[in-house]
Formats: sequence, C-alpha cells, structure tokens
Amino acid sequence: MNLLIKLEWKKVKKSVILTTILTTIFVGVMSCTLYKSYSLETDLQALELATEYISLLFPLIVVIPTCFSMYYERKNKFLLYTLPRVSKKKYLLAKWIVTALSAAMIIFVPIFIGAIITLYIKPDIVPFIGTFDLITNEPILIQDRHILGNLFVNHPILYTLLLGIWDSFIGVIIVTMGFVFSLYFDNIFVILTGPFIYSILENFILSVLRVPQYRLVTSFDPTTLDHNIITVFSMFVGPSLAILFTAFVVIYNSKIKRNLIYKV
Amino acid sequence: MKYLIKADINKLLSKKLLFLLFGLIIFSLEEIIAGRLSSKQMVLYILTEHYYLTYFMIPVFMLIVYGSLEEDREYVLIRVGSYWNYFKSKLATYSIFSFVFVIAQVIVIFIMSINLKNDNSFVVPDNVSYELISYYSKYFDNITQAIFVASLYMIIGLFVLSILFFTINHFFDKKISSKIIIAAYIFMNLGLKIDKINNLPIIFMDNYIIFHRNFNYDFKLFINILTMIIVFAVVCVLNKMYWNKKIKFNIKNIRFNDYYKNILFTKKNVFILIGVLVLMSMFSLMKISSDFILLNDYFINIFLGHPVNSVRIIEFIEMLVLNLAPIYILSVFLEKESNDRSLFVNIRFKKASRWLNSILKNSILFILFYVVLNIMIPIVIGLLMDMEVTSGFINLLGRIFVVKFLDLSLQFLVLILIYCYSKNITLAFISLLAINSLCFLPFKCILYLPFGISSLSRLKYIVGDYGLPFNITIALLLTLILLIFTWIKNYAYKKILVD
Repeated sequence: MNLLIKLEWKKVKKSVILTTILTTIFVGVMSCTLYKSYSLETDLQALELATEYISLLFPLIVVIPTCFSMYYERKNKFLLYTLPRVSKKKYLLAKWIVTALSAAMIIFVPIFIGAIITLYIKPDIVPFIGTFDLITNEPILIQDRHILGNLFVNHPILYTLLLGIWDSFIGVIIVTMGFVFSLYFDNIFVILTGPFIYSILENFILSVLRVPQYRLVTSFDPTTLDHNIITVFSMFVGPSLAILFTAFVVIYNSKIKRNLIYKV
Repeated sequence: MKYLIKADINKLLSKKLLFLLFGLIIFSLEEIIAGRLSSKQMVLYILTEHYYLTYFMIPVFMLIVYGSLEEDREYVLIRVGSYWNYFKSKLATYSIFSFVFVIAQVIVIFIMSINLKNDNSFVVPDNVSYELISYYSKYFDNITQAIFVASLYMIIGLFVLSILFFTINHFFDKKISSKIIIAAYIFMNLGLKIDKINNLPIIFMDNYIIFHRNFNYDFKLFINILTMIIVFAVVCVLNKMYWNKKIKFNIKNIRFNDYYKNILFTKKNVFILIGVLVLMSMFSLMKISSDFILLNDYFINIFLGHPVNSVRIIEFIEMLVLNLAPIYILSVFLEKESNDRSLFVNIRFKKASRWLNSILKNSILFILFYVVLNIMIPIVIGLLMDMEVTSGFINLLGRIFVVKFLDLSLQFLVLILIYCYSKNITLAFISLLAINSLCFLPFKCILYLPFGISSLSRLKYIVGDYGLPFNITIALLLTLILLIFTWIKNYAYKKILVD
C-alpha cells in the first residue's frame, strides 16, 4: 500500500506542488496589498480579504491538479494493466488517499502561510473601529461580531489552524466529488469543472431558497454572512449536501446506469 | 356500417363529455344564482361567452376528436368494402357527435336555468358581459331564433373541423396531426389577440364555430360559409380519389451538417439551459425588494452584470453563470467531439474547412437560441407576476439582444482560438474565466474590455456619462469578431486536426 501511495504521489506531484506554490503566492500578495483600501481592526482580517477569492475558486484549484490522472489512465487503458497486479479496491483507495491528501495540502498550506505572512511579515495595521451600535452608540468590537471571536483576536494562529483544517476537510469532500466524476465520466472537461459548476449552482439555488447559511461557500468561509445565523448545524449542511450528491452520482452510475470503471 | 358508427360514437361519447358538462355547470352556476337573465337569454349567453368557448369548450372538443383518431384498421376496411364507405361512416359519426356535443350543452343549461324568468326578448341588464347579446338583437327578432342559428352554426363548424382533422390524420401520421391541431389552436388564440387579423378568417378556426365572429363586417358570414363548403368539398374529393396516397416527410435524408446539430441541440442541453435561466431569473427577482416592479426594471436587473474597476463577487458570479452557461455546454460538446472524432468523419466532410464551418455554424446557432431563451424566460416570468410594461421596452430588448449575442459569440470564438492552440478545452474555459475577471482591475481603459461588455452596468444607455456608448460597443465587438474569425478560419483551425 505504501508503495502504491508513493507511486500515485509521483504522478500528481508536479502539478500539486505547483498549484500550492501559486496559490500561496496569490494569497500572500493579496493579503499584503488589498488591506490598504479597507479599515480593519485586526491583522488577520487582511487574510480574509484574500481567502474570499479562494472560496470562489477552490473547487477548480483542488480538482484540476489531481483528478486528471484517473481520466487519462482510463482513457489509455492503463487501468486494465493494473488488474493482474493489484486489487481494484486497493488501487482506487490508494489513488483516493493521494488525491484527498493533495487537496488538503493545496487548501491548508496557503491559508496557514498566508496567516503567518499577515501576522508577522506584513506591516501592522492601524486598528480602526468602524461599527457602532445604532441605539447606544457604543462601538461593537470584532470579538462580538465574528465567528469564534475570542479565538480570532487573542489566538490568531490557533484560529487559522482550525479554519485551515476545516477548509481542507471541505476541499477533500469536493475533490472526492471530482474523483467520482473521473471514475464514471468520459469527458475530461466535465470532470475538471463539474465540482466548480456544482458549487456555483448550489450557491444560487440555496440563495433563491433563502437559506444562504447552508451554502458550501458559507461553510468554507463563514465570515461572508452575519455570524448570528451561522450555527454548528449550518456549517455541516453544505458539506453533507455535497456528500449526498456524490453518493447519488455513485449509485446512479454503478447501480442504475451500470457504467464500468474498468472499461475494456 | 351501422355497427361501425355505433362503435365510433361510443368511443367519442366518453367521460370527457361529462367533464365538459361538469365544467359548464360550474361555469354557469354563478350567473344562474345571480338570476339577472331569463332562461333563454342564459342559453344564448353561454353560447357566446368568450372565455368558456375559447379556453374550455374548443380545447375539450379537440381533445375528444384527437382521442378518437386512429390508424385505419385493415379488417374494418375489408368489412365495409371501400374506403369511401368507411369515410361516409365517419361523416355520419362526426355529424352525430357534433350534434350531441352542442345540444347536450344547450339542454344542460336549459334545465339548470329552468326556474329563471321567461323572457324571449333582448332586454338585458346594462352590463359589459351582456354586450354581445345586444349585438345579436340587431340581426334577430327573438332569442329562440338566435339560439337556433348560433347552435346550428356551431354544429356545422365542429363537424367540418372534425372531418378535417380526421383527413389530416389519415394523410399524415398521428404525431404530425397532433402538431397541426395544436398549431391551429395557437393560431386561433393569436387571431383573437392581434387586432384586424381576424378579418381574414380562413386559418382561424374559431370563425367556423362561434357565430358572432361574423358580425365584424357584412360579407364575413358569406366568406366563412363558402370556405366551410370548399373545405368540405376538398376533403371529400381527397378521401374519394386519393385515399391510398400517404404524405410522408423524408427525414432520413439528413445533411451531414446536421450531425453536430443533433449532438448539440439535445433535450438535455435545452433543459439545462432553461433550468439555469429560470434559476437566475428567480434570483434577480429575489434581489428586488419592493412589491411593485416594472418589467423594464426587472430586465435591467437581470442583465446588469458586473461593472468595471470594482469587486463584487456575487454580481460577478451571476454574470459568469448567465454568460458562460451556453459556452460551458459548447465546451462539453467540443470535448466530446474531439473524443469521438475519427477518420471517417473527416473523410465524409472532404474538406477540413467544411468541418470547421459546420461546428461554427451550429455553435453560433446555439448561442442565438440561448440569447432568445434568455430574453423569453424573464418575459414569461414577468407576465406571470403581472409586471407592467412601459414604453421603451422594445428598444431595451433590441439593445440587450444585439449586445448579448455579439458578446457571447466573441467569447465563444476566443474559446475556440485558445482551444486551437492549446488543444485543451479546460484550459481554454479557465482562460475565459480569467479574461472575464480582468474587469476587477482599477484602470480606466478596462471599460473597453470586450468580455462581459453586455453587462448593462457598463453601457451609457443605462448608467449615463460614465458608460460606453452603444455604437462604439457594437463596432468594437464586430471588429474583434471579424478579426478572430478570420484568424481561426485561415490559420488556427488546422492546428486542431493535426495531431
């Protein structure tokens, strides 16, 4: 199994590392430049400005560097040659583990390094309190209107660690969707952009249904909405919808349509 | 033959007729309870009621007749001896049916209104809905006469129409005849909506059913009766002389150009487009908070897009979904095409340029189809929500249509261009996303970025002096389309075919 995982890692190594580096550079540059035109209270808010773009694009960033290999292995029949040497389950599992870990890395590293850059390298911001209570006219501090506010202000590294792990988890779910697509579909364009289209359409459908707190994007970046309507439950709805959709694709293709993964 | 007629009549007098009578009772109940009319006036009122006739009685009639249409069965034809005999039995069947169909309604209304007052004159309460009855008073002495003529006219008209439908079904197959029947009904409704067009009665079948349609001008009754007689005579002659001919459209002879059309215009693709458009239209409807919206404002809201020099993520995604939905499907199509491409296809096309032409032509057609859908669906939603239309709406629609179509065509051509050089549709699509997001940049010249230029928030027409003039937009898009088209046509496309 270890050897298999190493083998799979070799196949996607280049693209995954390249994407990670590019995304890290993007987040670093964005969090060091964008904050100048905003009035912020803490340093970490500069990172949030940058991750807003990542939350839009993460299905693409995660899926494209990892899921292409399965498609090409199915297309040029390489997959059939693995049959005599390794069981189907083992091979697919190894491939999925590598895909999932790469996805987690692609999401986690930029967020964590971005946080370090904003906290220690970027020049400190001048705190500016811009929100006031309408009735009492007292300032509302960021602790009180931010999700996990206390942690966010006092232990920013711990907060980023938590956020990074949670976001990597969502990245793994999305990349699993892409992986499932690559098992059953023959059109590489659909495989690589499918999860992205899913997240965009889900975004709009849930907005039309007036439950924006259940979107996958909100789950990924919970600061986009008012912190009062975000609960632990609502954080889990988006990912579970994605898991349900993936399960539906698997069942539909394997049981109803009877599409084969190992196609001759 | 007697038994054939009996069997056919049994088939026609189905539960649908009961449904019609039930609907009739519900429809007339309010008027009967109000008791403003006498019993005979009531019958005439129902025979002339516009909504009942056009939206209930005629559809039910067509449904019943359509249900009775069938392939001519051989053993029936053998039993009756000749096709002409068979046709005569159908004549009898349909005449009996249309008689029963009309008389049943008259009787039901008469029984229901039996305890209303007895009045045979045209004196009715002054009300808009009884206006037609006073029109009848110009031509008839009393109500009984009017009822008699109107119902006789209706019986004859329904009879001729059902025979006509029967003949159409005989010469074409049932699929085509259903389309013809539906088209006839739509034509009828159009004739009611558009002024003056009804003066030419021939293709609007309500003229043969509803008697007061003949009041428009003097000779209309004469023209209608003449056309009915001609139609009947033609139908008889066709059935007598040419009954053994079948008209078939030869669909097998598909030109090769249509090969891609059939891949692209599938039901699935069309449904995806409609779904996305309905979703996006509902989304922009949700954004407007006030209850009272003009259709113009709703349209502007949908096509607002994303302005330049600023970052608004939600608006940007909205613009991307609206603009790139057809291009996404076209990309899927291109990828599928390159997967399935084989030497045989190339050989059938003979020239590579013909292959390119076919792809470009069908794709542009698809984009055109999408833009039309994009305009039609908000109109339908707006009309369902009872939005008001103000002047300048057609002007707005025209501008949106032209700019949107050119914008999408340009984006598609750029997609093809990148695809030609990279041979990777995913890369091409993502570059298109990237080019679209250039509008975030804070430079003034970004206003001239031709991607997403169909956003109304960039046009002078909506936002005033800040925006782009309409003519310059069109000129810019046309020039770029021409340039890129020539480039693809002369140099780029060969790169795809050479592996």
